[in-house]
Amino acid sequence: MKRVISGNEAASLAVKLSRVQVISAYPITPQTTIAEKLSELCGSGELDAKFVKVESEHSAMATLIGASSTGVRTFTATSAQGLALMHELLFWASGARLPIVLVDVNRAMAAPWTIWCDQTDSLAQRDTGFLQFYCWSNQEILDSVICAFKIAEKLLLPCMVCYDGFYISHTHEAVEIPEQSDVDKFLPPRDAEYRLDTKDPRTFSGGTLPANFMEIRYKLQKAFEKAPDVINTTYGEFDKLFGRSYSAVEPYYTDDAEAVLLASGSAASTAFHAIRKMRQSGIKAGLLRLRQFRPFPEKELLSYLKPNIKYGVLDRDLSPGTGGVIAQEIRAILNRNNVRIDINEFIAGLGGRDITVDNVTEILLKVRDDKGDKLQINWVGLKN
Amino acid sequence: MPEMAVSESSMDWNKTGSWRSSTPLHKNITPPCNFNCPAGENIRGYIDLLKDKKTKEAFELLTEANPFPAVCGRVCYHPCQASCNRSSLDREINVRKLERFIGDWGMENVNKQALPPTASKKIAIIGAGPAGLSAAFYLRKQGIAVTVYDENSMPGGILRYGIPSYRLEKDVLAKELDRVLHGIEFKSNMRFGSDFDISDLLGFDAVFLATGAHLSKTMNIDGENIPEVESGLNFLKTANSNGSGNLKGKEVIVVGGGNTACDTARSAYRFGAKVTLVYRRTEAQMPAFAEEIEQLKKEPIKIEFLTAPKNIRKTDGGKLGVTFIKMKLGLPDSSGRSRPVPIADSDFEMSVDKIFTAIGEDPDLSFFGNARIKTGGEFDFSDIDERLKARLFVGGDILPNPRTVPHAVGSGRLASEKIAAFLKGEVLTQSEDIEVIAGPGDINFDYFSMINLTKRGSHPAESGFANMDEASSEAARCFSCGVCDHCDNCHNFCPDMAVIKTSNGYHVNLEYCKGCGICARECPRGSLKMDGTE
Repeated sequence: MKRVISGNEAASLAVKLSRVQVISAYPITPQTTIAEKLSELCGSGELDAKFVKVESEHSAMATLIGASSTGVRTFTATSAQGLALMHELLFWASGARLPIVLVDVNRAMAAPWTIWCDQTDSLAQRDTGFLQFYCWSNQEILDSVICAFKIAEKLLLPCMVCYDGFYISHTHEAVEIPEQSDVDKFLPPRDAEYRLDTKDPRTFSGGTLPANFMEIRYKLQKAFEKAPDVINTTYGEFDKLFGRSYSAVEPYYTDDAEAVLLASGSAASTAFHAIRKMRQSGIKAGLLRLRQFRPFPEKELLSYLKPNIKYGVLDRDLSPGTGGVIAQEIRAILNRNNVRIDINEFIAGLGGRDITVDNVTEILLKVRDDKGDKLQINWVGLKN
Repeated sequence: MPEMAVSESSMDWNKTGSWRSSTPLHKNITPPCNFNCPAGENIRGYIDLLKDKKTKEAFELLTEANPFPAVCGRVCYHPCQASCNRSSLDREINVRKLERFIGDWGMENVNKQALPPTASKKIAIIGAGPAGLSAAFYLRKQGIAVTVYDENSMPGGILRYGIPSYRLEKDVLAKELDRVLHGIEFKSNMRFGSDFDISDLLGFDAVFLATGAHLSKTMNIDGENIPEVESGLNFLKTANSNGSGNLKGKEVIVVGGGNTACDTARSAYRFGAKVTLVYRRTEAQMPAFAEEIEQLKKEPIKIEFLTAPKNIRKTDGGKLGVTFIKMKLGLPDSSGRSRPVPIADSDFEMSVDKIFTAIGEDPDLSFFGNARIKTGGEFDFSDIDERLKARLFVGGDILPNPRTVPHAVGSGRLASEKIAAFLKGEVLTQSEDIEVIAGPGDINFDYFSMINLTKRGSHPAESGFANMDEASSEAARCFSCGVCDHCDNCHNFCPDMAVIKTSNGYHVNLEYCKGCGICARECPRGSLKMDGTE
């Protein structure tokens, strides 16, 4: 059944369809309507889950760490400062190998105060050990959240599903809502090997001596290395049941392109539209959409990045002192693999400034016409 | 090695109890309502029963301490409410209405309670007020034959002859007295010392003297003996006996600031008088109950503070001419209250029809020849007839306790316990344990939220709860201060699962309790404390 719903409603319905058992969330714009919808679903009994009210995001994540340790399926949603407040517990969730799913509705980090979109909030959590996915449509949100539970539970890794605040969270689109019975087939109840059980008391994540800590960390890294296979298998199963397929990186018009933009989230959908228009004018532009940030899709990206094509990387984020986070990650994999490709780095759309079709067209022309005199960082639409 | 840092086998071997430096102890402490009840009621106990709509059980528990719930639900000043910890959150529990609800239920549903047959022991009680009748009630319940003497024609004492009917309806009193007096011999119009004497009491195994305090104190001023100057208590007695006392259009002055003064002023107003109450101190020093003062102030009664009568004389027109003098507050006197000091040249005159004095009462012990209260408040038994002395017990308003109905009830019940012990050749011993009272600091307010408050009536005799639901929802507001109500918080919060539920409470498994204190912290009511041992 297709329904016209907002991005946040798509996330909420996915949580319901995934039969989540414990939810804990604290309101923060632009995430709030997820928590509201879920509390309604819990209140009405449509979703048989415990909704734990808390006084902060820190407590929300702490609650889920406890709940998830008992073997149940858990969910929370947040944005910006809320995610930052969870920071220390995000490490705990991954270190304790708890498959918590978190939706982050991307919002810029204050100060100055803002409620508008950029992706600095989630990208800044890149070292916490969460899987990270970025969506560009409401359908993708619904599908990604359902897949996230399956991937997280297979890998024993927590997972963050991210999408742009307001641009996606509050925009309505037609979304195919799968049947509960089909989702049940795809996503069986969680079966935790180790769980808090008063009849079989064990210690979890207790004091670990230097003799063992590194090995635990090694296993965490190994889980991330194993992730691409698990993710692809899951997408395959999803495709079979629901007829929609996903991958870590999606290429559009890249084969014969002279200039390709690497982008994610709503900016990628704007770029997609701009590139189609440019193609109509005979300009050979292309798009690489980054859907997955952790694990960083090294293999997939390397298969698309060609030395004879010029690349621009669009970062809707800023790591002050370095520049764009995604550009930095791209440079790292290129260097590690001895691939010599120059990339142009663009910072755009911070704090909810629109990234327009004209912006993207301008960026791609600049990339195409690059004569090697590129700037370290190109600021898009910056006022004097 | 598992993916996560988890112990591969059970951690049962890890007896975390060895870490403990402090041990949780489930121990009830005294709720402030119970502690402050002069009658000794288990208030928390009957509120809990009422919460579950067990009115019969609540009535039985209440009347274990006080045979007069309907009366006290109307006239008691309820110090329990004043000490209620819930007032730190929203408003105190309305114990008055709950007590009244139980009392009213008793009037409707409890008629003659079954009594054990009387054995050979016989007790005489002098005075059929709340002290005498409470003693009678509890002695008779133990199978002891009781004869109650009273100088009046009807039982009740101060309840009948002192408290106006707008505070205590006569039919309520009659019904409650009927139940209390069941199985007890009542001898009316028998004044000790004139209608009977010690020789009539020799056949009794013990005698309880509870004749109250009915002698109005005198003002010691000129004109005090003019017939139009009357004691307030006397006026109340006449008014309560036959309803006479037409004061229509009369100008009346009431002197005093206690409960008798308030009752006198308000009764005189109800008989049509134009009333002025004069008191030599200020409102803050009035000995009357706060709510009596509150009610008094709502009536069209003029109040003159810092004013005292200086002399009274009859004028030609038949009225009373009264000279007053204004006072100011000086240094505290022996009662701790500021002493009123006359202000020179502040005299003023008033012309009135009647003066009622209500500046305090003393017990009338003329049948023993003289006053017998020693400093310190003990009754002086010396030089009382030897035949009576060893068997004589004294209580109620004769003793200088606060002169209230619940104090009288408590005093009467205590006398019954002393007498019962005496009859067995024993002396009543009282527990020497220091009572720990649950204060606001013992309450974890996080567990209680403010709720819509039940609307309260303007006066105790004017309203009660409309129905069982109202009463039980008020009872459900109770914190159960200091008394475990098996909420399971200690059990649920224990990180070591060391608080184990038993059939009647909780047991702490000391093998695993590591003394973290979370259970005590999460106890909403202070009935679980860390005792610092082990």
